[in-house]
Order: sequence, then structure tokens, then C-alpha cells
Amino acid sequence: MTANDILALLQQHFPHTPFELQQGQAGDPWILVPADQILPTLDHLKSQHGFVFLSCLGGIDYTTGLGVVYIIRSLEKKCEVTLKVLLPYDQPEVASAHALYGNANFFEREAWDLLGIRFSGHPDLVRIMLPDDWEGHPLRKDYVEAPDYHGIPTTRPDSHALLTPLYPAKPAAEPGATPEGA
Amino acid sequence: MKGTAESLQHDTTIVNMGPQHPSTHGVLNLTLTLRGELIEAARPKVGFLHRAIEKIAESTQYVGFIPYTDRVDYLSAMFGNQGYCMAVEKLLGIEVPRRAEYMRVVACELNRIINHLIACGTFAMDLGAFTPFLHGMREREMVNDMMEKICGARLNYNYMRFGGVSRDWVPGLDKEILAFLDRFETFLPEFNRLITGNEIFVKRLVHVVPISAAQAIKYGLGGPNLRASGVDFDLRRDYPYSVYPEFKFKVITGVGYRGETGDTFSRYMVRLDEMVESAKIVRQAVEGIPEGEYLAKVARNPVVPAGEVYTHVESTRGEMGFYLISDGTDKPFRCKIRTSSFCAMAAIPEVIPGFMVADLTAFFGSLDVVAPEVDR
Repeated sequence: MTANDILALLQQHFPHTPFELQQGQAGDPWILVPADQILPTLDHLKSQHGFVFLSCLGGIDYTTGLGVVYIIRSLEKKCEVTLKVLLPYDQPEVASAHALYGNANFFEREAWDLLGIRFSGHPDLVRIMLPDDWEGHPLRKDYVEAPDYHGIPTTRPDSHALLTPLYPAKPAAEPGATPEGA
Repeated sequence: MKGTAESLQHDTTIVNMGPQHPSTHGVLNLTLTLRGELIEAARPKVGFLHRAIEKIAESTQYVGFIPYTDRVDYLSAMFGNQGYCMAVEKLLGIEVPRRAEYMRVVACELNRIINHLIACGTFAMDLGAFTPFLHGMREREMVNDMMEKICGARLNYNYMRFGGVSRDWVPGLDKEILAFLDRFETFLPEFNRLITGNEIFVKRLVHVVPISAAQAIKYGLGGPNLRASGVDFDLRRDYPYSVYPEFKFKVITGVGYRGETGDTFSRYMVRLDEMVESAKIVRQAVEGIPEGEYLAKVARNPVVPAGEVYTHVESTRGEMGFYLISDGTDKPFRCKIRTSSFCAMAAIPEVIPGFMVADLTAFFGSLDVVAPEVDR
């Protein structure tokens, strides 16, 4: 089954939903699903066509908006399909798939933590990778790291600044002298 | 009701297992709600080893990210290499020379053997048997020496390149690998006599935390954990990649030797049997390796056409996937890494309640979770 076949199946079952098959210059195609229709779509593919295995769920910052990618797999038909929803920055919210796929629980927490995508209906949408009091969502393209976290600097100190105390300070070069090694 | 036997039955205690605990195999925390010795609830807390590898990918050139993929799962670094290289090759449309594919398979399957040696060894060590671990490490050391000849490193291999591998085999390596495989055939029966047949060992594992096939699929478990539950699924066979279709090997599924399918002993046995199959693949690959190029001619810093791709390899811990997005520059736009250990952590709260704390140690060892792979 190719992405085209699955698109045909979906259009047959949801005749009024504008699904769209897209592909970049290279790589795999994906099916763009309207954000409010993702849960019925996943439910239909899981219950009717055997896509019981959630292979991957991840958030993306496209700089034009956010996106969530679902890769689901049918173990019997040995095929997988990529579904994608696009979300605006001002309301990055999509329904949670945790009731359909158990591992979506953790994947969605990760997407919330790193990209700030909210999953409505998620039982426990808290940070998973970063500390609970971290500010911002680091995989956003416009994320700027804070200079320190509880007094711990987040950037490495200048290596020269670290080395200087170990060596005696060089005497200032006399004016007119050729620089060392010239 | 303070401190009486009765209160122990009615009150719950909250115990933190980890982040520093010898049986968590890395830094992670399980917050356990206990009623006496029985676990009522477990909440995994991960992220202690988060190194922002996905963020680093966005500021590194494609070729410069290969060493980082080693660090995703440091015990099976070859698979991170392969999954990532396959993703970039698919976007670039590169054909990998057949000799390079064979060399990749040999390296990966040797990696699988030594990973499972550690998995089974540390598993026995978690249960109090120290010697099997040392026997496993002894065999692993020989493969480490071979890995050093193959790629120059013993743990973080950084072996694969876009379109092949970093270097050709040194002369005589094939004989050395075959000699190891001969030796390995006698090692496993010895290992089994030492620990697998041990009645104390078996009694602690059978019927402990069984995971049904439906649960394993629901939580997206991978590799030996999935197959031990009786799900006959292997990416090497079902989504053929590289040159795996050219080799004969069995996909091992759990049969519940002593207890039931999907219990802790079943997961352990699947790993043991998988080592035999991996050894078979290595032997076929070494004997049938064709002559030719080991690296296709590819630009050193390729500019990758815009597009999105998802590739997955059957890592030692199951599916390892790379969702790679290119925007047409020399750096990835986004690289989402899917690991099976992460999914296994999500399954723990559902399967563990009702078992004892000592069972948790056995169960956790049998999942073969590597904390850096969970946190990335």
C-alpha cells in the first residue's frame, strides 16, 4: 500500500475532509490532515485498516507554523504512512492520541516540552526532558537560550580566560619590535 | 496506626528508585508507590541524560552529525550510524556499493552480538550472578578488538559515511571474524550451563511481568521486547533494507520456554537466540562479501535536496528511526530520533503494578533500556 492508496481510502471514508498528498523534492510523501480531523483519521486507520503501531510522533517548527508528524504502521500489511498536521503559532493545539496509541503519551510530552505544542485531552502534559521550571521550548527556531539556569551558566566560558591564570602574563611588546614568530 | 503490621497493609509508601541506582542502567528515576513490597504505581522520570542531540543536529553539517548518532545509543552505535546514513542517502539518492553494504551488515550484527552479551550479562548481574557478566565481557573484548580493526574505535564507532563506510577491511580480518564465530558457537552452551539453566535464576523470571502482544504493540515496544511477546516482527525481514534479504536467518519470537510468552524469562531467551542468528548472518556475509568499492563517490559536505524522509533500522533495542527534514542546505532542518527505549519507558506504568520491588529489578533488566537512548 502506498500513500496514494491510503489517501484514496481516507477520501472514501471522509468525503468532506480536504486531505492532501504532499512531497518534497526528495524523500517520502506524507498526507496532510486538517488539525481538527487527526483523531478520527487515526482512529479510522487503526480500527479499519490495521494501523495499530505508532512508530513515531514528533513535533516540527517549520518557521511558518508548527507541525506534528505521525508515522503509523500496519504490522499485517507491512506498510506505514506519514500523517501530518500543521498548527498556527498562536494556537498550537491538537487532540491527544494517547487513547489510541499508548506510547503517544510520552511522545506528546516530548513535543510539548521541546516545541510547545499542546495536546488537548492529554492526561499528564508536563515536561519530560527538561526540568519543570525551564523557560521556553528549545526546538523552536526562534528560541534564545537564557544565559544561566539557577546560576549555572549555559555557555562555556572563554577557553583563553580559563588558561591565562596558569601562565605568567606576557610582558607587553615593545613598540617597533617584530611580533613573535614573524 | 503507626508502625504496626496492620498499617503496612493499609498505608502506601512512596519510594524513589534512582536516579542513582545500580539496576536502572543509567540515570533515570522511577517513583514507586508501594504497599509493603507490592508496587501499586510506578512513574518513570526521564531526561537526566538529555543532551539535546536533536537540537545539535540543526546546527551541524550533515556529515558532522554522524558521530553524534553514536552517542544516542552508545552500546549499539552502528545502528545509529546506519539509520542516519540511510536517511541522508535516501534524500540524496545515493546507491551504496554492495561491498559496503556487506561491511555494514557485518559490523551491525557483530554489534548486536556484543550488545546482547552485555544485556544478558548485566541482567544476570542485576539478579546477583556476577560471573556470567564477566564471561560476556570476555567475549565482547574480542569483538571490540575486531571493531578497532574495522573502524578504529571500540565503542563510539563513527564508521559509516554517506554512500559506504569509512575504510576498507584490513587483510586477514575475515579469518579473524570466522575464528571468533567458531569460538562463539561453544561459548553460548557454556553460558547456558552457567546461568540459563540455573533453577534460582529461572524461578525469579518466569511469570514475572508478562507483556501481552496487544500491550507490546500498544506501547510500540521494539526488537527483542516486542518479539518476546509473540509478535513476529523484524524490520530486517519485513521492511528489507541494506542486503538483509540475501541472508538466511530466523526471526526469533518468544515461546515461553518455562513460563509464559512475554514474561521476563522469555525476553532473556529471545536475546540469547538472537545472538545465534546474528552469528549466522555474520558468517554468511563474511563468506560472501563481494569485491569492489567500499565508499561511493559523494561530496564531502553534501547539500541535501529539500524533503522529508523517515528511515528505520532494527537496532538491538528495536526500531531506531530518523525523521529527517532537509530545507535544501548543508544542515538538517530537523532530525527527530525515534528510539525503542523511550517507548519501553512509557509502557512501565501499565505493566508493573501488582508485582514486587524485586521483580521490578528483574523486569527492568530484561527490557534492556539504555538511558541515553531514552533521553537523547
